[in-house]
Amino acid sequence: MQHDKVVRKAPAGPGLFRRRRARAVGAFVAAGAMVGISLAGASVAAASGPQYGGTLRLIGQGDVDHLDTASAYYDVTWKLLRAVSRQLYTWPTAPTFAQQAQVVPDLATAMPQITNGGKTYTITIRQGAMWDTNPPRQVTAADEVLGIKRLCNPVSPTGAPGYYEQTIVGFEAYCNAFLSLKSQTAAAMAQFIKTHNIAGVKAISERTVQFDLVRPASDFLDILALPFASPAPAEYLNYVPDSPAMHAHFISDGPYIIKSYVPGRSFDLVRNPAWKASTDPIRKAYVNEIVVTENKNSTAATALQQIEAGTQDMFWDQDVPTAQLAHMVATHDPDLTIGPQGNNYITMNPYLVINLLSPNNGGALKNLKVRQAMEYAINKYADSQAYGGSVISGILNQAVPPGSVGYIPGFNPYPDNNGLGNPAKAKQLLAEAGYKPGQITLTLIYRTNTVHPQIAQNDQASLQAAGFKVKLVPVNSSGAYYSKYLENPTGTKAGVWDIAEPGWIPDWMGLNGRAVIEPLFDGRTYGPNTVDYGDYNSPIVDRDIDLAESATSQAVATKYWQDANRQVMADAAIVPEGAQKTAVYHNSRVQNAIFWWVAQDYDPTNVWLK
Amino acid sequence: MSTFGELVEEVAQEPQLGAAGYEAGVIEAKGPWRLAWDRLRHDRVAIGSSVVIVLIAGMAVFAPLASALTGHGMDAQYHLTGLTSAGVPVGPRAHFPWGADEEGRDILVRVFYGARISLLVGVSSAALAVAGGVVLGMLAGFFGGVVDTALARLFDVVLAMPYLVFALALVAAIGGQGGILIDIAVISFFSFGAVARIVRGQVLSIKEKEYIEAAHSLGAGSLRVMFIDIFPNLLAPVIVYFSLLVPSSIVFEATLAFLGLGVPPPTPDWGSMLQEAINWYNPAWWYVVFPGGALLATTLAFNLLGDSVRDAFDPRYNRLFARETE
Repeated sequence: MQHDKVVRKAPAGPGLFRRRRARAVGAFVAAGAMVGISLAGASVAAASGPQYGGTLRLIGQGDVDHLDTASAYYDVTWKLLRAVSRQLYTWPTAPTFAQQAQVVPDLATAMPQITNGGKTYTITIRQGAMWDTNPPRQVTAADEVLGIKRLCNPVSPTGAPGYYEQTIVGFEAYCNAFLSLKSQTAAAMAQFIKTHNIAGVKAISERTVQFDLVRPASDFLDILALPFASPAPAEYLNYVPDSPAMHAHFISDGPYIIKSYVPGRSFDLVRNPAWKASTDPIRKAYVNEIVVTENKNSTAATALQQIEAGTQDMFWDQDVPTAQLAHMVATHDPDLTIGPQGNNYITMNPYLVINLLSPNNGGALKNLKVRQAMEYAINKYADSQAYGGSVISGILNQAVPPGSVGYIPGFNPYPDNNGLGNPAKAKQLLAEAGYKPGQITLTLIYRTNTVHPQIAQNDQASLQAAGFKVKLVPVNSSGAYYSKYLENPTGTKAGVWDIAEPGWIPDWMGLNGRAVIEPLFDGRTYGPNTVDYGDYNSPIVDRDIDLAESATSQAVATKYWQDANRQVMADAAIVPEGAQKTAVYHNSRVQNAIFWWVAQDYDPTNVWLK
Repeated sequence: MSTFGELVEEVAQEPQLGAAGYEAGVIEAKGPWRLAWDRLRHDRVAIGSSVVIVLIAGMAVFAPLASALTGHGMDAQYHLTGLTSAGVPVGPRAHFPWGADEEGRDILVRVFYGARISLLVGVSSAALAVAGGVVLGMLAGFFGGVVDTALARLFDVVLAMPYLVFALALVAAIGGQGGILIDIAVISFFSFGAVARIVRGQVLSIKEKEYIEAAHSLGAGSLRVMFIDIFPNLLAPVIVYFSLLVPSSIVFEATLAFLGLGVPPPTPDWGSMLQEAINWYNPAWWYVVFPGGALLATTLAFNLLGDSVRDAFDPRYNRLFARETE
């Protein structure tokens, strides 16, 4: 949950559930304060085909992490930003996952012109894409440059600077200078932005922007498709980034504008008069209004009841609880969607991360055979059941989930009885390593919310069956779980924890080694805020990462990412346990409800109401 | 309780009357203890609730037997037989008489083992609270003055605290799931105040009695007077209070466990079982009903027994009872 802080050291930035399940912020909320009533949508039920109009109502618990595109990092925020911001490229709400994982032009007129051996990207912005200013103004190349420049503002910087530092010429130097700016007033930051340039980002005409890269990067368009890289209007220079003043003057180039935002309580989005459907191939914008109700006390179960009853249309930041899922699956509930489709998963969750620095048990975790024993010991089937079984949760046997680059079909280096675990084999390895049953006591830290206590107890039971002793240590806050324990090298080196079960959501799918393997397994950048929690550091993997990222063809890159995956597993740096899909639900009046992996939910700009 | 002084007088006077005025064996002189016991054993509610308590205690003692009979360990997980492939617990059936929980564990076995925690924490926290309350209450009442002022304010402070909030903070600060000893300490800390205040009141009244004065004049020291002369007269209200504190301590423990501050998992505990069950009540009613039923039966039985004990020791009740039977 690295939503609200800078991550300078981890090259690919944060990932793990930082976008899912927002932190609980804001005041208590009076339930049912904002219930929009559908007007146009309900009255024309007889017509078939897409219909325009009506109010889409979303119900949930938490708030956005940041509203500023420069720093917004929760998936729920990205769902909202879909309606009020546009990027040069984006991931479409296409029918299949493979199509959704491929970036397509959004503000850009076409795919980029790539020259200079893959190091220069020239992109033209569509004529007629307008800001909701008074009067409406064309989105320009200068706005895109400003959007990139604002990423390193010292007040609310992006959570993933690494993607841009590694790719864009001059970004890192610019960033370091901006982040160390002493005065943090709007005027001082505006002055810095006006007087400093990023060498690799230029507006070469009113609507044409050019990026120069440090080296070729086959995933650069994914990096541009992240909401971080949205263009920003010049008016934003008047405000401190992500401040309430900036929120109140949020300027949209998407189909909706933010009519009202009460932090911790509600959003009300209405149509943007400056937006033209002809300039936007991505968002159909069927509904007239989108109302979000945030109720800190609303559980997923009660939200689900409201959606079923028709007082709400879809979830905001929650999903279908495991207890209700089985019944819905059994009855083939047509309003349930489990995404993404097929053998694709977004998250690697959970995985057992092993503290390779732990001094406990005489440094037993540094012993490969001990770690391999854990690979055999874990009952992954049990963990999958905790999430609702195979319809939603896959058993994972390698360091990359299906749907991300580096995944190797059929690769299972530690076959363990179809996921049920092989305690006998684990005991044997433990004996070969020179340890008697019960000699190693592992400290397992776990979160106390959702299914985490179940996963912790499952793993405790299966490790104990294999001859380990496991001490459970609960951590009541997800924030502290990461910041105080996993990302804290001091505690990690002191052996405050031995094993843990975090999860990881890649920032994009497909060619995303930079968003999966690199942050999780590149040990060269180990330090505070790391996401390579156990300090796994292998020169072989590091070399594979470098070769994959500078590869000029996807096939070559894929090969290196797969090599890295194999090496991580050979070293037993983690025990992969599961890969998850997400179960979301909509009221039956919601149509064109396509699961969109970016939000891990439906795309509010592309559903229509019956 | 205000008439307890009269009871004390009876206690003090009856033996002398019996020795001086009547022939032994002609009319049996019944002491207050004997009277209470007679009333208690004719009280059907008391008998019924005692039976329930014995049964619950039997569950705690014979939990390993339940485990042996079902073949299911206390925290053994049966992912293939106790859960569907979608992870839904199976309902009551031959192998799982009370169904399974979200980890595929046997709820019957866990409810039986959970009785150990509930009874252990309930009885020992109540005992600790009563012991602390009696000692501090006696000190305050007996010595008076500064000691009394200081201790009485302490009781007031403890009683005025929003105990649940404070207990949550305390248990969390001491170290997450602190375990059973911390639970007992927290529960008894928040329960001793009421006992201490009642004991103090009793002592204030008793210490003015003539026989205490007599003891003093014979040269008895403070400790002797407190523990030999005063303490026996406190036993009745203390027993009543103890019997009522046990169920409230059991509920307190379950509450802490429900909030994630009880004994660490996977040790079975009724409160934490109920906490896990809240997500599951819809498809898996047995997950709520059995631990919840056990908790309800236990606290109800202790409460009813406590009421009966109080009635049995109440001298007013005695007179009404006597009039009816004359």
